[in-house]
Amino acid sequence: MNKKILQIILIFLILFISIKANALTITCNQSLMEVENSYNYLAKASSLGYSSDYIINLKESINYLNTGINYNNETSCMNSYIISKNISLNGQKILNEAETQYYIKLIENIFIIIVFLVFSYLSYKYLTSIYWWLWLKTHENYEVKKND
Amino acid sequence: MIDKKIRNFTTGFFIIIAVIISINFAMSYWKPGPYSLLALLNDNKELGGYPSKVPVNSSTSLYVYIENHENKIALYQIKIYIVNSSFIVNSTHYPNWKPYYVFYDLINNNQNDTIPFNVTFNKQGDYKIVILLYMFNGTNFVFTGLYNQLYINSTVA
Repeated sequence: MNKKILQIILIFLILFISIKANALTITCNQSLMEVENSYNYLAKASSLGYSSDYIINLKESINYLNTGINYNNETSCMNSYIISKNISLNGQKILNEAETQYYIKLIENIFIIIVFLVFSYLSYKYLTSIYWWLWLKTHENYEVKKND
Repeated sequence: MIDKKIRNFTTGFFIIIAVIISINFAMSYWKPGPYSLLALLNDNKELGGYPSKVPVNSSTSLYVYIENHENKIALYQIKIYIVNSSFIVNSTHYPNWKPYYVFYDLINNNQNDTIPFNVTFNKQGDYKIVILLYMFNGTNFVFTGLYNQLYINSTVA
């Protein structure tokens, strides 16, 4: 009878340990997958020259992941998962912001170049007449006298 | 004539500014690289001066130094192994089993980071600490070909 109880306890312990170990692996693997997922969004945004606070958050998530993986800390993996999940949920928003910012900057730069080219054309075309118009304005009281 | 001189000067000035802005704009698309750097630092975060003999069961502190010039934010995986000193490591032949440590790091473009780690040798012998750098390519971690190794003799104190 005692032997049977011992066997049951042993089986229970083996099952419990394997389930526990498996749960830890899954959690850490899941958080790694979530980190990779959020990184993909941030990398795309970063290649468009976009930088956001989400990068700091992902770094924090990776720190938790490192602790979780190397020191078998389930809570750290869980924390990592929660943070990176939050980033990946906002992934599309981050990408949209990055694209908007990229196109605004592109249009802004092209606009500035066009403005300077237009200025140069206008100055070439009208600056001489503006110069003489100003000259006449400042010399309105000029009197021309005959030099005898 | 003075009026034409002023006109030419102003026109030239605007054209030069437009050209400078255009070059600056085009240069923002020119990106050198991409490449990453990997180095091993001693416990003072310096290159060189690494421990060569350590007592058995004592902890040795080292740092991994990574620099990102990939033109975008990069997600790295750093695998640290302790292997026998006779194990040959190069960019094609490297350990592929469960590492002693595995770290992940996110580094912005043109930025660097250091990761501390401790190593303890349980038995005396000649060992090698091997550090391998992997980078995430969007689907999985790929070995960059960058590695570092440090020979350590573990002796009884």
